[in-house]
Amino acid sequence: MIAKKSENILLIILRYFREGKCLEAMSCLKRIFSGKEQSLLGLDLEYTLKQLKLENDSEACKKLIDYARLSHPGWVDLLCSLLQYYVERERGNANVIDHFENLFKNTKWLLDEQRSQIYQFLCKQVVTEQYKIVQIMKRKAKDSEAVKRASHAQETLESKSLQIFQEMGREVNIKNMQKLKLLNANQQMKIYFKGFKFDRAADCDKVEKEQNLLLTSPKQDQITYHYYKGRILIFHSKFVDASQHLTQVLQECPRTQKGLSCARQVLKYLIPINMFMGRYPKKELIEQFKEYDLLCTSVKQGNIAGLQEAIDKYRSIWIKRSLLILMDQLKVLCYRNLCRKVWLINQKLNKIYLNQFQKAFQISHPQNSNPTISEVCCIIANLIYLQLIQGQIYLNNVKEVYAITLSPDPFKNRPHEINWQN
Amino acid sequence: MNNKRQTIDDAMKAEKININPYQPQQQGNYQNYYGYNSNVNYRYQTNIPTQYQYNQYYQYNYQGNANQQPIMQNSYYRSPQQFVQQTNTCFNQQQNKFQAPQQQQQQFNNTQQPLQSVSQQLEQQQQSQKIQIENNNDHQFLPPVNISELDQPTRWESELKVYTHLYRKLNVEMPNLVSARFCNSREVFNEQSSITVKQYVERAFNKCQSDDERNIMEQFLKATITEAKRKNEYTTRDWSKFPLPTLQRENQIRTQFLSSNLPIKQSTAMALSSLGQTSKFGAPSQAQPSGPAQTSTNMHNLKSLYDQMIQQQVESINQNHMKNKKIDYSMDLAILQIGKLQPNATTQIKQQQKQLKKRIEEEDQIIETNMKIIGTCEDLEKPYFRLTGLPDPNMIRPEHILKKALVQLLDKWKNCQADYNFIIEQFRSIRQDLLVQHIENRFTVQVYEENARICLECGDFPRYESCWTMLVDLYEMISISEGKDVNLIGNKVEFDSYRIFYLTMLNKQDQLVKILHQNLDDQRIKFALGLRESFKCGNYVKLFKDYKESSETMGSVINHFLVRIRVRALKQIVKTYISNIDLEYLADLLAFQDVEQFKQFMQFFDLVRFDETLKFLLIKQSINAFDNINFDKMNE
Repeated sequence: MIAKKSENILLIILRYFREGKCLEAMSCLKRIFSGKEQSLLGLDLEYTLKQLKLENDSEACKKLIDYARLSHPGWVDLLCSLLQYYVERERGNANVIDHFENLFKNTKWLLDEQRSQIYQFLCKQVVTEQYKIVQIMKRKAKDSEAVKRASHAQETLESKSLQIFQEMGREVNIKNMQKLKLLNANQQMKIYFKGFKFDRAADCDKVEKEQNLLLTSPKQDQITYHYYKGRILIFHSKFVDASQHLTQVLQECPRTQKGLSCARQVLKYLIPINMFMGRYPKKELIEQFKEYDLLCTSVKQGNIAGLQEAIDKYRSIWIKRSLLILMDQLKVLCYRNLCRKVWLINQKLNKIYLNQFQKAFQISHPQNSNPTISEVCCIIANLIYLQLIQGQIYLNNVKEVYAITLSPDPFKNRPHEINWQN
Repeated sequence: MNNKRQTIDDAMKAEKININPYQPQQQGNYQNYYGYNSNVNYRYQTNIPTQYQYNQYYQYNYQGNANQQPIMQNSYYRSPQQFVQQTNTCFNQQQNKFQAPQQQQQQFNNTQQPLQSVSQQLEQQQQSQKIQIENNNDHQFLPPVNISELDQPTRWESELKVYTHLYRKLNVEMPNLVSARFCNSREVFNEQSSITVKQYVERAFNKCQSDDERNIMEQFLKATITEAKRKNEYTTRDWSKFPLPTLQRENQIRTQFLSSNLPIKQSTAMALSSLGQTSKFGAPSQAQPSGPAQTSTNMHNLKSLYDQMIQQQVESINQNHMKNKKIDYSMDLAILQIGKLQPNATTQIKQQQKQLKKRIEEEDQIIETNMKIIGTCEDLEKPYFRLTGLPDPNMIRPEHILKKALVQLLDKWKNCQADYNFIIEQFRSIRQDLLVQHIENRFTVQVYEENARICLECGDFPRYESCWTMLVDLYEMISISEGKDVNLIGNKVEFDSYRIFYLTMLNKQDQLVKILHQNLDDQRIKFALGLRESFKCGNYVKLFKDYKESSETMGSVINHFLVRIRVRALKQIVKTYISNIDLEYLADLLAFQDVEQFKQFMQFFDLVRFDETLKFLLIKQSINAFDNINFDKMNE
């Protein structure tokens, strides 16, 4: 059968392998992984496997495969497991997980200079395949049992792929393939990110342990690393570093369609972070990210009600992007900008009565119409404590004097310079 | 042997092969297989009996002459006494093979160098004191192996190639280079490697007959040792009892042995590996003498054997532990791994592995059905005992009794009839009974939730954490098995809201995100997020307002973090205010019942200063009062 469809993609890949054309072989592999080779499904699986494993009748095919098997025994195994995996995946069977494991686990022999490209390709495929399997399983599911199995498969696949990467990482360490170390770490981070296990993802950071790793790795891995590192730093409220990492990613994004989608992904996080650095997005940018429009303007103006509205309106988006925990800090930033306005309106006086601030809070946040002096006191005390405002609160309950004395340039500290962890 | 040596040398000269690229050629000598230079004049040379000269354990074998020769303290080796006791037959055998050529070579070297230098060195040595030896340690008394060179595989490979080539040409049997290389390898042995491991390796190599086998053995040993290191069993494992890997040759012998209908072997490993072997009969490449009729009888015998084995095992498991079995199987798999290294046999061995795995799964099922316990105990209260053996059904309560027990327990807790320790112990025993009987349903969730709630109310956070991890798993498991949304199971949303506040207080933002992802809109979650916002923005007025309005359990969770919140608030106030503050105002702000309670609270902090009338807090004098407070200790 394989001989009849002599232009069968498996044979083509084998030929490329034999001739050492890794790139061409990879493009064929890509076609298979993306599900474009439906003709493979028509093959008799057992028969084809037999043929691939050197039990073919036709002379020409036998020669080809024979040669390939002798020169690169791993390729034939790889193709066999790939074919099995592909067929099972397209059918949506539950035992696809075994084939998935089988396909990606036996990749040790790919770890040398010539074959490392294929290795990299397979590495990157692990996570995407994981989701494709679940997708297809859910699509093909006929009853609730099957849906249940599909959602259960997600977990097992996750742990399986983590296992695969740990095994791969061990192998890479043994062979000391410097170029592949970062790739491996990145893929592990990717899995953790998809499962929202950010604390675990931070543990995968190998660059901190090995200084040279970042420089010796290929560019694409560096960029991926910067993206994940930036995302992790957001959770630790280290906005300057996060912004640096993410900006680096943005600068390296190519002007292709894929590059632009990458840039969009990065900007989703870069826009709110840059607000801490005093950089607000321009009109052209905001047009592409409508959800940030109200957010940015309200923070800039010190409009608490607007900010609250923006948070509530796009709540699901913030949760999806795991930015909801950032909103509290944005609120502090908003308070600071409001206080600065009060200071400007009072012509930069160094002593302002607290009821002025109280009024400002009232106007800014109509729902909470009656903020008490002590509430305003607390908020401003927090701002002073965080060193967003340089000044002190003067409180005399007996004489009913509440005032804030400010140093000459009270708002000189930029929001990103302060220690948010306090 | 001497002649052979010469012929090898001659052959080398004829082929113009320079074995050691690391040394200049004019010296005409090279490092031997053990990796140290025979050209260097070791000081003990003349005194040592020749059979020990190139043994890498020479220091210890030579201990008897300690009076004449100071023992060198070499950090690469273990304590000497143990090594003397041990007879390393493997190496002595090799030694015999090696001796003659090396002796020859040594003579050859000695003739090249003036004999005077040797005698001079001997004189120096007699005069020298211990201090001098220590000083010159690096130069004169080299450790037998140069580590930096050893781990370069290329050198070994090139040497090996050359030697195999030469020996084959001369029709001489190749000495055991592989095992020697392996034993010197720093990958496998380091300074911590114990003697038992070395003994194990020696035993393993002693078994090998050909170089192919040694190669396989080497790979297998490396695998086992790295695996042991990975599992941290390297130092703890009893290597003297750890079974040696089985070779292909031995397997075949064993199959023949078994197929001739002999009584059952004790170890399951043998029988199962032989079972795997029978599957080979179908393959055409394997030239087995047995005909088709014989194979069928073989299979039959083995099947009956296998059935008996299962029975035996189930019995033994019931008697002892389950663990033993698994170890046996993992060993079988490991043994099969050796075969994997051999060419032409990979597919067959994969089949064997698959069969084995299937068998293991089947047996697991058998055990599971046997192990399913339904308790018969009817006590509502039962003290907790940590299980050390298999559970006894008489001591375990079935589910319906457990439900009653839970209700009774909760009643007692609400009516304050029992103290916390008693309640927790009862919960532990309930959880144990559930675990032993594999009950994982909504009732299990309820037990864990109530347990977590009580832990939260009492501020026992370590226990809460353990309950929480279990709860997360249970929620997911039940939502999958019932096909419902996770949030609808038990009181997940409620416990999520506690979790949000808890994580906020511990400042663990990254874990928080996952919880937020699962809950979009719920009043309780929003309430917890509101608490979080007011804490982060420093709006303590709103925070304490919410605290007064919160539900019972939430209130008690906040209660346990109140000190943390209040101290943070006070720290801010002390740092930012310049006027002295009225205590009444502060007590009101921080939600104390009255000023007295606030004063009591403030007595914990030595650095806080009040004025004479005890009405005001002196800010300037107590500015550093809260600087050195460790929040983690504040909870207790």
